[in-house]
Amino acid sequence: MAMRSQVYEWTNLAPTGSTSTLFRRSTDVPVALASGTQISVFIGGTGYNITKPAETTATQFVVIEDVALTPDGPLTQTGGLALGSIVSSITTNSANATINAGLSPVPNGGTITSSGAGTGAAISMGNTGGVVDVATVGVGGSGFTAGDTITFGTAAIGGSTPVVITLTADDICVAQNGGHAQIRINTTNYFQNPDVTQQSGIPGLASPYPRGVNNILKTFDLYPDIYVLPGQVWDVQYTQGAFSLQAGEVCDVVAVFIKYTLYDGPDALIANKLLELGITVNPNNVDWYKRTLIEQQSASMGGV
Amino acid sequence: MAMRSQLYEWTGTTAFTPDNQSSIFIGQTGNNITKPAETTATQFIVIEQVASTGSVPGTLYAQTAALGGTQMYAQVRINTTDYFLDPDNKPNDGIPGTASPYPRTLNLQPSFSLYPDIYVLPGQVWDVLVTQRGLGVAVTNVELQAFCKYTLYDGPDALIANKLLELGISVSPANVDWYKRSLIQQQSAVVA
Repeated sequence: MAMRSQVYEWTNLAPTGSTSTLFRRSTDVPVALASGTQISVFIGGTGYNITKPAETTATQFVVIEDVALTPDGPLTQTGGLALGSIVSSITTNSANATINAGLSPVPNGGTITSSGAGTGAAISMGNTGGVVDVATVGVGGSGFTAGDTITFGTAAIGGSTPVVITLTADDICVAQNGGHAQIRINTTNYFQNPDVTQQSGIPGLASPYPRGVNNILKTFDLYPDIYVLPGQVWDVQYTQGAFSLQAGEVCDVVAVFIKYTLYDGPDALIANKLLELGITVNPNNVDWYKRTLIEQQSASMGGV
Repeated sequence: MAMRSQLYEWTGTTAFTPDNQSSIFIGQTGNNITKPAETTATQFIVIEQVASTGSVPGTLYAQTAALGGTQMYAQVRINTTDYFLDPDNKPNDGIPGTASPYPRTLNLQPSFSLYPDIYVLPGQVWDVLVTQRGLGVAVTNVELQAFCKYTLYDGPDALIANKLLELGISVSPANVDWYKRSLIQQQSAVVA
């Protein structure tokens, strides 16, 4: 039977040095995506892509049943520190640091302090000629917020000036760094504002992927489904939310998941017929239509 | 009645190699069975659910391999044909574990339900192939799992399943029952 449940998962992962890929690999790393950028999840040139635009042939009918994506959220979310260098966030440096601090707990008594509620992180520091030029997060911890300051006192770093790191949103690993997803059929966006102006579509907060991430459940169900008629081109446009994703930053991963059913051949004809009749196209109704035909035929011929 | 609900659970070994596609039945990793899964001439299988270890994007992708670093996918193969394709008709890795997680938890619930089901006709070989596309994080302590739920139609019910397929009607216990009821009603009408 030519009704096939299909899935497509997009992530902003690609091999190091590339912005997109046609094949997933375990070594793929996140690709940068600036806040507000809109891209196609199929052929946008970012992350996992396919070879050509998604389109239906003359004998195909697609029903898009679900679109879910990484939820977005405010820049003030709490989370662990992003692993890797944090040196660009040093706002007060020392000129005469003497200690190359190994992986040190943050906070650590009065020696290393955090202005916020963050705990459980570990950062190593190094200096060249007294100026701290290495600050690397080895353990992310939790509870940190953009704007928090982490201060390495002179007992930890040596010299006469404490080193202060002021955390930015990019320094925090959060689960809600996604955005919105808009469905486009040919050149028409499906989701519009009440005044018929353009919007960015389904918020990840309303249709989270995975379901339950950060305890967020779905508030949006794509029902009625979206039909892609024979010969149409369809696309899902992802718009990055408030967070800008950085290349290679391991926690800057976002995903979009699409579930659709592909009707092919005779089933696509029945799908079109149901559409003409104003009946919802789904496997149950396609079956119902077939059963009705068979029962009518049986009644006229006297057998199944 | 020869309609039997069946399941298969696979648990991978810690030596599972990222990027390699492996059969959960005969992939020589984790628990396996003695021969490829196949239907006899009098059997018909309907695969109703496939799930695998889920991943959580974002923070956990990077920092907690046990929860987030696995990125598992499960593809269904009938004979030599992969079921799940990208819109450009290229076979993909299949259902993401993140979309159909096993086990399901409060923080990891399904976004995907396998409907319409997948049919394995009499005499066909079928398989579920899992792939792990973790972010390069060590997953030596992660238990990779997959789960498959299917219904086995045997004997007369397999014949009815085939008949339903010929008629283009979904094969399900309800439709098999409908077909039987239709036959009985027609027979009753003839006798009367």
